[in-house]
Amino acid sequence: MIRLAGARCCFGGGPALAGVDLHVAAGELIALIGPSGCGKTTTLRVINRLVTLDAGSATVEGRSVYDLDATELRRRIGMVFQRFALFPHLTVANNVGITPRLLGWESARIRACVDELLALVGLAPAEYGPRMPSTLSGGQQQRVGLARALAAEPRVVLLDEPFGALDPVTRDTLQRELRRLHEALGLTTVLVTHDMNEALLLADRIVVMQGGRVVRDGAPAALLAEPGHPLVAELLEAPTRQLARLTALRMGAAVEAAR
Amino acid sequence: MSEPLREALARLPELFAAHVMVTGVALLVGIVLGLPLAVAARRRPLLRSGAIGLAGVVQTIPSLALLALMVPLLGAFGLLPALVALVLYSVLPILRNTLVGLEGIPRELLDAGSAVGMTPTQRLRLVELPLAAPVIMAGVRTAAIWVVGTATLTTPVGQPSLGNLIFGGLQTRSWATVLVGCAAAAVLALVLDALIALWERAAARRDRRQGALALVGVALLFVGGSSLPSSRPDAPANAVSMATATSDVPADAKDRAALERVVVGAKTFTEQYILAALLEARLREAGLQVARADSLGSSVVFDALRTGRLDVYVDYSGTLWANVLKRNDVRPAWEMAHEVAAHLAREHDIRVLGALGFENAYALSMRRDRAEALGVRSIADLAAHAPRLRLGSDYEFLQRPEWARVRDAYGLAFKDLVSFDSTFMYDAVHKGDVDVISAFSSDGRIAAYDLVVLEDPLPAFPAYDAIVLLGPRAANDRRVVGALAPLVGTIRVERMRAANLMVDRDDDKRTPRQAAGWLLEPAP
Repeated sequence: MIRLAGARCCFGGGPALAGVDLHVAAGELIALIGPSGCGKTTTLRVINRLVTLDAGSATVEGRSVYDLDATELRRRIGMVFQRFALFPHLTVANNVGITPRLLGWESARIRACVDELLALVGLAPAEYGPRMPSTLSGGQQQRVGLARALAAEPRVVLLDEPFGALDPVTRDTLQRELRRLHEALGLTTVLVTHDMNEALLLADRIVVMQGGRVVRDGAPAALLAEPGHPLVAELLEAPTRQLARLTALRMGAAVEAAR
Repeated sequence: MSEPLREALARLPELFAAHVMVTGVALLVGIVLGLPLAVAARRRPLLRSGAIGLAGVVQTIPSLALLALMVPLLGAFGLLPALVALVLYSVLPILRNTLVGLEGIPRELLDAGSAVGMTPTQRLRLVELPLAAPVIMAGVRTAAIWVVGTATLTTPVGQPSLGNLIFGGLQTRSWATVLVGCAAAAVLALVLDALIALWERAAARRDRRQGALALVGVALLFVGGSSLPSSRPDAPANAVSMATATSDVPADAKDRAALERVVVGAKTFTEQYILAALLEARLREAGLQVARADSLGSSVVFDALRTGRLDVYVDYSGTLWANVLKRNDVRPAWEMAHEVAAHLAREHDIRVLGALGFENAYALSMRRDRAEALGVRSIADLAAHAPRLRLGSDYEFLQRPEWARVRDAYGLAFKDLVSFDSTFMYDAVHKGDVDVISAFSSDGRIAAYDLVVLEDPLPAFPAYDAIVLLGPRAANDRRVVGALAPLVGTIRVERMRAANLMVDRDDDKRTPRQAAGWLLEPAP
């Protein structure tokens, strides 16, 4: 579905991507993870041409992204931002309906689609549709962000640290909703995160990046079994420790209960 | 209510309308230019700094000078130079605020705009401009206040505005008139400011209904304000512009056009207002329609006559000698009169109808007691005392060749040279702030303040006979000539001084129109 080969690009400071190869199969949910500046967000943005490659290729559904008009391409790919990036001057309904509107859909079809999507992300359309984004909580805003990304019925959805700005409870709820939507709508999803827990919980495959390169690419189980790179080991350390602590606590509690 | 106040209030609607019109058009054009320029410049550092820099430089030019410069630069006068100068003023705040507003939009929202599939134009229209709107509106608000204020200075370039009341009132020492002009401009500025502030708040709160309401208010102010009924239907606010519109008709049609409306001009001082009222009264008596264009700058008024936008006004032979004939020698009065008339007819199709009978010359004057104490009777006597004396003059005098010639001819070296508005010059010498002034020989205050005019034995000052000039359209119009010719040679300098004093004095003040009426009465 998505393929990057030898993708290179430079920003002012130096190479942002130093030859990235990536393949995402249709229906897959992959997580791009790595420290700040590793190139994960840049990689994501290459897919909808918010970033232009200096060398290498990028294809979506078998066609180079450069064969299509950038605007055309982006209308077929949904995107969710870390700080929600809802348009503050538009109502929730108009935020969600923006891409259909740009595509020239009839207003009745847009309304129906917006209502359906708001319901899908768990916001009552009649109540939330007319509200302004600033009146919503962070979690609600990101639900709207998700609905907006899905409005034009894309097959590919890109998420840039979508849950980083949310509290843990909301984050957990939305993570599960994302996985549910991914399955239900048959999406191909690329998720950028700096949270290994999130990657482990959500992704079919985890792609670990450092210094503009992919250093490890595999299923969560495979990474756990064989980190294969010091960075992967380091990223896995915290979840592993948490798991050990939880297990210890639970066993302690079981021992306590057994007495 | 005093007569000057009554007259100021009567003229207020038409001048207010003209002011609102020129302000509104300038703002609109400023927005239409400033917005796209800002949009084009925001990602082009060179254009950005160029545009901001240029607009900044324009701001530093004093507004009066900028307006005056537009006249020779554009070769036009009236609405066009006024608009161009006001637009130049209004562009900077709009340009700067639009840039600041656009550049202040969070990066992520711009990316979101692109990511949802907006073209750059759609993103500008749907995201960037709406989000920058509050900042842009603040810029429009600043521009509006500047333009309302600066528009009062368009009067000397021939665009009627509330400045007519301010300039005219200052020159005739009619403070009520000045106050009416200032108050009207202030009210206009405050109302406009409040409406745009409402609009700005509506934009910030994304309240479309309130925004529309404010917009309707602004539109009503401009449309309603600029179409206020003129108190004198035969003298439209836009006299000069109206005349401009008819100046393009073919030559044979021009003669007929002159019959429909004669445009009478006046420079910016009391005597000119009185003489314009005098010409107007005579023309009206002859059954002609008259429009007035008052408070025009000295070079503006001649150009307006030359190009047919004005039909008649009174100028002074010495002024034309220096400014139009570019002569700096001094010839006897009769010779100057002859050469000026021949030159104007030959080069500009302008007819010198004749001299009114008095001179309004530059004349160095002193308080009688001071002159007697120093034993000064002529400018030649003055030279020895000059290093201890202060000379007061109007803005123009020290720049004029006459001053250079008098200074060099008599070897005058004053301790100090002070420029005043000519209104204040007489008070200054009367109160002893200055010792000598460059008085005008027909000014009523010479007698009122008991000043003596120093003799010019050389002579170094040329003659300044007041002469009636007829523009190309009026020159051959029998009715115009017939109405004005009887004025030739009828006004002695004492009568002109008395008429000027009636208007300039503080007690029992008369309007220029009343003074003109008094001049029309048979001389005692």
